[in-house]
Amino acid sequence: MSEVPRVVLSCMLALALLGSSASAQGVGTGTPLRDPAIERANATHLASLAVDARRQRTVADSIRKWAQFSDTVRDGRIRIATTPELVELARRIARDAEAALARTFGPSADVAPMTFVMRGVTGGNWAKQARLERWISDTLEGAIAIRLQGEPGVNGPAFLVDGFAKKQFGELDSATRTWLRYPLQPAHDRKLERSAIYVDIATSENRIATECRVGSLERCREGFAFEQPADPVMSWYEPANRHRIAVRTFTRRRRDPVLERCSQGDDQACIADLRSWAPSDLPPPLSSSARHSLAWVALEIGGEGALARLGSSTAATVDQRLADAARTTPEKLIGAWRDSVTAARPRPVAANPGTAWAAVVWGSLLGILSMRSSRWRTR
Amino acid sequence: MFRSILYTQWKWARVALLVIAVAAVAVPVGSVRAIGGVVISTSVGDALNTMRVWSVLYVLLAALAGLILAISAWAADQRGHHVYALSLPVPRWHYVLLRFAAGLALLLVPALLVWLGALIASAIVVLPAGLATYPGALALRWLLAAFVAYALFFAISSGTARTAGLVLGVIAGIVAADLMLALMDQPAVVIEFVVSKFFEWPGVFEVFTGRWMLIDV
Repeated sequence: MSEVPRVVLSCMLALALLGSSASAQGVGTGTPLRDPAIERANATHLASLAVDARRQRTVADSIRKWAQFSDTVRDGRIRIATTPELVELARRIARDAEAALARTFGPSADVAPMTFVMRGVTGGNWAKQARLERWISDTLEGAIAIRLQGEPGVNGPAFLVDGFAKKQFGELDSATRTWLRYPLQPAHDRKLERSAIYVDIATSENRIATECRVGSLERCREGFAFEQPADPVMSWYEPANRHRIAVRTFTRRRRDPVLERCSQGDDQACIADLRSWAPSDLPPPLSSSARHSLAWVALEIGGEGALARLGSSTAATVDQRLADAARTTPEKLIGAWRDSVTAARPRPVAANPGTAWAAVVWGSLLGILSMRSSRWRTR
Repeated sequence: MFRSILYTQWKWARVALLVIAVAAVAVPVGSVRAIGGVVISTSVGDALNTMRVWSVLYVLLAALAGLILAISAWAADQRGHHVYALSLPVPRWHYVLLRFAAGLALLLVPALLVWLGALIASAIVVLPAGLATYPGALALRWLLAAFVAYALFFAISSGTARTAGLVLGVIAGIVAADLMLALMDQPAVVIEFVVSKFFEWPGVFEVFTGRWMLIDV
């Protein structure tokens, strides 16, 4: 509510300015303009006043927009500015936010106070909303804009964590951002995520990924592609990989003669085709999910302040930056990542002894229950 | 006496058992054919996804085998109002035990056929590095799951209508409790809690969960 006076004041200021400019020009007074020189000077002055008035109107408009975030909720280090209709939800989110952030980022998340600006999406003009969000972020320095879509009450803190992750991503250097490709996604089950990565690597037809799985840390490093090799088409892929990757686009590029030859098994054609691709379109031996899991391992090992260290590291390469966050060496970090992924290997169909015993005990128990049925009991 | 009970149960269930036996061989062989047969024709990831889809059939087959054998073990007795059982000169628990054991012995037939089918499927497929077949583990898991399903349906079939009503009442109570919580704007967690207790170790249905894949990493 504290913004209302500012809105009123700005509007009054804008009106006063407009009024004064009008009065200065004699608008409405009926004063005739006779001298052409005075006329030109007045016209120039009027134009500059109009620009001023527009500026003032923009300020007033901005203040009016900001005024809708008229409620602020605080809980611990979390501050959420929001609209009146979302204030209750904001309160709940703020209450759960620290725990949600801790669950997601562990002690690696910053301990500094954090400000979020939260608004619901009510349809309408997306471009306007995006402009407003940009404006919010710019106006409230360091604030994280979060936009609630769908049913926000269900997973409110997740929106906040997501907003935090995006903000952190934006603060990383461009090389790390390019390498990660997208913000670190909060995962519900980190083990399950690593299990999927194990399957991904175990079933990869890429030689580098296979050798990484078998135990070569050098190959893992190569697979992460911290630096783009001079010729990734030859460094990363075998002929079979090249053929498979190139012909993926065959349906939409059926008339391409080079691709046609590639699809018929001409490796030189596949090489030529893949070399025409943008480097970022070439799939690295280890996927973006694997890269993200490496970043999460770095944050886990690094513990407190790891996220801040990742953002502030000035190391020349991405692997060294991740290692700085983890306070270890790149080799040890990649080793820890490989160990964590190997440990998450999904258990195949084989029933472990616990499962087998449980089944035997339950089966026997149900069998005994059948014998004890009231139908058989002597009255 | 066990032999005669085994024989009669075999007679009652043999048609259904034959169908299950055919399916027990067909499912593993079919799953391998679905990924291309001798040489995997899809990508390895797609092959694993196909295996995952087919894995549901093992679980269903185990549950179905347990259900059919349990129901067929009691169908004749229920039709005859248990007069035959009550006229035998053995304690009633002994009679139930014989019926239970006979059904279990019959359950070994499809389990062995699942193993055989899985062995055939494993023998015909050439796998890329990183993948392996698990015929023995799959058959063992199938046997354990079918045993649990059989014991559960056997217990239900041997019980009285009152017991069945009681079980249904408990299930209805759980659903009602969840509905009440939902109406009171509280998180409806009762069903979730109960299901987790049943399907997580050491729950009765835990053996049905997990990856039932003949070919896996």
